[in-house]
Amino acid sequence: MPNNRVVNKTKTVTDVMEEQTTVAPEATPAEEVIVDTAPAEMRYDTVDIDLTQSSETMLYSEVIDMGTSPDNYVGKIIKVHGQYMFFHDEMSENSYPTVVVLDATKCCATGLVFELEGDAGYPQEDQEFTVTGALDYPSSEDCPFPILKNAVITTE
Amino acid sequence: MDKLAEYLQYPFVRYALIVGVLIALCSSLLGVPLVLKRFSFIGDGLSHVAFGAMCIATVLKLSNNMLLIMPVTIIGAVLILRTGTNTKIKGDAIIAMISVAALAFGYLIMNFSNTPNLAGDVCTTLFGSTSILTLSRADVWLCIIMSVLVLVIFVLFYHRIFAVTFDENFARATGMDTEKYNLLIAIITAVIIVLAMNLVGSLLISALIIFPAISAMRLFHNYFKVTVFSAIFAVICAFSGIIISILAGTPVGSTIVGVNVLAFAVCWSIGKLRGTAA
Repeated sequence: MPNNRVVNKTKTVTDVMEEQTTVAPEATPAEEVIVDTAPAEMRYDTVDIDLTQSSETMLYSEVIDMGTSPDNYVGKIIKVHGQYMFFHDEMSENSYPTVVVLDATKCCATGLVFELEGDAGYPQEDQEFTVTGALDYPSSEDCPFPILKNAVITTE
Repeated sequence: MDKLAEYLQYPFVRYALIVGVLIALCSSLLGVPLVLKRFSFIGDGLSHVAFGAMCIATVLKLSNNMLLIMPVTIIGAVLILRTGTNTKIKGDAIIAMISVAALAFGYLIMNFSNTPNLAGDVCTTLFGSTSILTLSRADVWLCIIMSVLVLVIFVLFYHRIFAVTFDENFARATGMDTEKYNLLIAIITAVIIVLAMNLVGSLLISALIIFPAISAMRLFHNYFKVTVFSAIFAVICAFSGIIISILAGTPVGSTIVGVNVLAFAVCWSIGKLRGTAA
């Protein structure tokens, strides 16, 4: 585990996920936020698709494309920068930690659900951060979205 | 250039370029007769009708909203044309009335939907946002088929459209059914408007129709040359607009229109220097 990781309270990923699927995101106090400041490259030697280098127009379009063309992205290591949102899906009645990206006009938003690796925590709502993970397409009804598995996050 | 080569590997970027160029080409071909017939704003009016239809489709949660938008916009085109010539309320007033009414009712209806991102949906429809970069393969094929259809009709009826555009009274006197060809122009315009909503959004569609035609008219005074230059102008502007927007991260629709405006300024300047511009 990198030395510069700041941990205020240790939880497992399952604990955090279970807690966040039942508690509103606003209920998560700031002091409980666990911030992983380790560069993502320390965990992932190579990144297949680095969206932090893409223009806003391409970033938004590529994230949309990940949802519509799974064959082109499944298993790839994706690195993306955006805002944190604890997204509530009304269809499945579940909530998911999500990195939100905006289009160039700033009126449309899309995002990627992610699942953190290890005991890391989540950024605060609307906080900008970078997340890196392997893209997976779970077929379960619990999560009908593409998801970045074993994700690591970095915040500035 | 490396970045551009990397982006071009994505199918959705290639789709956007294909669709963008085709829509620009069709719009520019229709733009010449529409501008000459003083129907420049029919595109604006019909795009607002299409916006209203799209709002209804969103509220009804239609899986393929094109099934509603296309016929409603065509009906709007026919109404604008027929009502504009047969009643006391003339063309420009009818276009303005239908345009603002469809826009207002569309937005009103949209508020009844439970869409979580209402502002985003409206913004996308009005300004295009990045919808041209999120097309499915089916969208691309639909656009290719409709564009080819429009191009074939335009080529087949080129001389009749030319006659109706330049001197409708003379064309009518020679026995031509001008109403039929006006209707044909309106229907084709409606089809192009619906397709172009993906490219630049409903508020900016008129730019695709007007700028290539008036730019060409700054340089040429021959109908055929104006049509050909207009097509080349539109294709170059759409292609470069899409490339600039994906590289610079700017909104696609606004960038394409911005390139059109700059290119018009260049044509106008050249026309002034050559003494051909009005």
